[in-house]
Amino acid sequence: MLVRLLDVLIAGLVMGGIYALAAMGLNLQYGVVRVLNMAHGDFIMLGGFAAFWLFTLLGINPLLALVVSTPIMFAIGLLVHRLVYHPLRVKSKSISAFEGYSILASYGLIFILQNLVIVSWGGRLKAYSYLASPVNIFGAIFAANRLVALLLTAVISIGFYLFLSRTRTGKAIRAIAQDTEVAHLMGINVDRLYGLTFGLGAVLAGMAGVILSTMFPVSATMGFSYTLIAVVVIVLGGLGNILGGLVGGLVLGIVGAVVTDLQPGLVMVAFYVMFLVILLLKPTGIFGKQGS
Amino acid sequence: MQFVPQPPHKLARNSAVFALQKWVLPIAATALSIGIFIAVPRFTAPYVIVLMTSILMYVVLSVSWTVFCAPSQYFSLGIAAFFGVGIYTYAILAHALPSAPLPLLLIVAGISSSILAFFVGLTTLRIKGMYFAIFTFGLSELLRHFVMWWEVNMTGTVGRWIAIVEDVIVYRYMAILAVVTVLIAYLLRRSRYGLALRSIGDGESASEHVGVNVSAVKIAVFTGSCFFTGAAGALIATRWTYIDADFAFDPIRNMFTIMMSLFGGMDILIGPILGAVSIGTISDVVLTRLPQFSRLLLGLLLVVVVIFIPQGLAGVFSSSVWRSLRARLKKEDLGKGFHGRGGRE
Amino acid sequence: MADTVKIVEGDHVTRMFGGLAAVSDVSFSLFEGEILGLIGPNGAGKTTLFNLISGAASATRGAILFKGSEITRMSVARRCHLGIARTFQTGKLFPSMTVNENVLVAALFGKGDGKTDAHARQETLELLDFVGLSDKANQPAKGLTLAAQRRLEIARALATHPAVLLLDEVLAGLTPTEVAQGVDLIGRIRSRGISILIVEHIMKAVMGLSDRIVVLHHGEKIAEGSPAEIASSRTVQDVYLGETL
Repeated sequence: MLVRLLDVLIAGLVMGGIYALAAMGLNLQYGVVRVLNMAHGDFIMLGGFAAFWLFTLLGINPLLALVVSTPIMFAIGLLVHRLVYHPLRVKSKSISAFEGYSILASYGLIFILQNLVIVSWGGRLKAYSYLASPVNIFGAIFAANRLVALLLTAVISIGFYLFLSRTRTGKAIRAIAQDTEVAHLMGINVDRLYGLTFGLGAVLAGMAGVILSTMFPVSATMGFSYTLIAVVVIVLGGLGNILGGLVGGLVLGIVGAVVTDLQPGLVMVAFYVMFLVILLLKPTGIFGKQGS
Repeated sequence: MQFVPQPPHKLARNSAVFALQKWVLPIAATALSIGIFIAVPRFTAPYVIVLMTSILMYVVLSVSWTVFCAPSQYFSLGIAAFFGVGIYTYAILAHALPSAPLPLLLIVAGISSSILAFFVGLTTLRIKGMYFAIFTFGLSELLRHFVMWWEVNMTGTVGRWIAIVEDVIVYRYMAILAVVTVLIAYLLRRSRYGLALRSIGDGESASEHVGVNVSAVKIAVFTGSCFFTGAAGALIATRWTYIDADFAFDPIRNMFTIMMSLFGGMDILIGPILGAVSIGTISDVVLTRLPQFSRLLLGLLLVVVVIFIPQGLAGVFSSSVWRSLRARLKKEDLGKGFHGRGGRE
Repeated sequence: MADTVKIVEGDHVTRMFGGLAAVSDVSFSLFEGEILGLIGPNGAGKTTLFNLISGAASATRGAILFKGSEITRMSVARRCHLGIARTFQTGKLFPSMTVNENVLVAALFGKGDGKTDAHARQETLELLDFVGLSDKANQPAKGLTLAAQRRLEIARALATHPAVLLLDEVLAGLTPTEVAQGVDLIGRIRSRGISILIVEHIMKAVMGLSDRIVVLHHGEKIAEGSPAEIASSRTVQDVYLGETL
């Protein structure tokens, strides 16, 4: 019994860390750039594929892949922002119009990215084995990569949180999220930081994908579910609230682990039930929307 | 503010003209259109009927999506969920009550979609912002997973078998459904609730401040619109002998619907109809010639339309050509217009 | 004005915003038939107070009353039906709709009483006439001049049959002629029996229109009195740092 509990708890923390990291990028993008990129899960998918190919073709291990994938994902994020969201922002008459239309555009992006991957690499699952040897923790048995994943997500999440709160760029980014007008007046190059922030969000997504690929197979269609999870996490924690997203991710991870243990086919249903509950009780999220 | 009532004879004449314009003409047009559609099969080949049925279905989808989403600016990303509920309701009911008349089954399927829509609305439409969009985003996937789980764990069967209905009959019912959907959309647009919905999209806070019960209006219109989506799903299901969760809740329909509505133009009623007809015919070509690139191309088209022509074809057409045409037809009013513009301010 | 009926009251109203108090322990009364001016430097909490009265924001502490009954938790639409209407500093017209439609929607829904279409159309025409926008009835609200936009917002607010009208910097950015026309319009609104709470930076207008004035600074009420009293108040002058009242 205790072993099973430990099993679920650690699995929950591992997945929770992934969910938190997966959501962090989306949270950042929404809080600053005001874009709810529904193709976020597909960025995660791209990160996963990057890790797969780097490992399979070049023998580069996932830890290194994290570093290698960063500029690639940043470039993709920058490109997507410049081609899609920047023009939309310029043409939109209001923030809410921009939010609405950008979500529609992002929906199209999902199908573009998915199809590109399917055409390039096929629609089948792709997996590789990395640090799969079992580790024993008080009777609960885990593949080592799970624990490495937990460590990595923790380090990256905390590291990024510190970036946002301690560095000049991080503070400038947060200033834009708080009040764009004031940020402008303070001399912050808001337009450039929009692109930068979106790119950073893509990087975080890519990292989540790389880490995921060490534990699970990747496929062209995996993105949708991860977008969904990221969305539930950020609503749970409060749209734009980075700390809330971290907590939300952990909560969802643990809930997911519990439900997987009991009735694996109902994990998504469980997440949606949580979605429903938070919308009914406190739509602004556990920690509340930033700025409200 | 004093309300000075108009003299009775003027009021009576005005309301007669008004009623004519508001009710009689649209309903007459509807009856005529239905009549024409129903007569068509006498003159065309069977495959044309099948194609037209698909296009009419797209019309129902895009109009029912647009009627709520366009004026309110609350974009539903999950129309496939409501479509799928219609399909499954039909499959279950048709199996349980094999002798039930088709129209009744369609109506019940539509109602079941509306019920789902009501609960979605109750949860997400009472809150301002992106919550409605992101909740509907995963809805079709959620239902797909849930129905599959249910079928595997509870009923033991996967998918359902449906008795086929003749192509011509499906076509005729789809035509009626499409025309009725357009009629309802038209009447709503011109009614006070259509106006209220537009005010919500233009400025929800201001709309509340002039006394509109924004939540009630949103939920009511959204719920009503999904009736037609569900009925369309139920009807098209009759074409296939076998349906399953993957088919019923295919998320491609979400993208299709959004794209048709945007491409055609969301601001005028003719827009989604235009979009449905054009995309409906194009997609047939694309899906058969370039199936492996179909999603890529459609997704690309959606992104391009959102960025460059968000007002859609109808919007582009209406702004330039229409305006000069209308101006020429209303020569007398041009004079008054200029006076006003030159005016005091 | 010997009316003692308090149309709107704020009872120790506080509204927190993060750690800051946008409005702090403000108590005020708007008497029936009067024009109450609300002044103060930018960021003093004037629009927040309007939001608290109209229901766009909820009070963290304290109460808002309308004709003696508490409405602190009431929804915006219901307060509108009761008789509270407002204009917005940022001008929230319905851009995709015509001038006529902007007012019509308010006429139809403002009282929550299921008015007929014909009745509402009639009222709309009269209101457009009252504010001087009859000739622009079928123009889209988007292209209007600033002064016309302000008139439209007022017409729309009036279409809800308010007992109280909150005017938020409705004269800002207008030419002197337009300001004079605006002041005239406000006077005509008061003659209809509507109580007015007006936020304005154009001192001459506020002082001229108001029966009484309330001054806010950093969310707190720092002074209250007749225009003459406020004009000569040392406290208020300090706050405005030399601006001629």
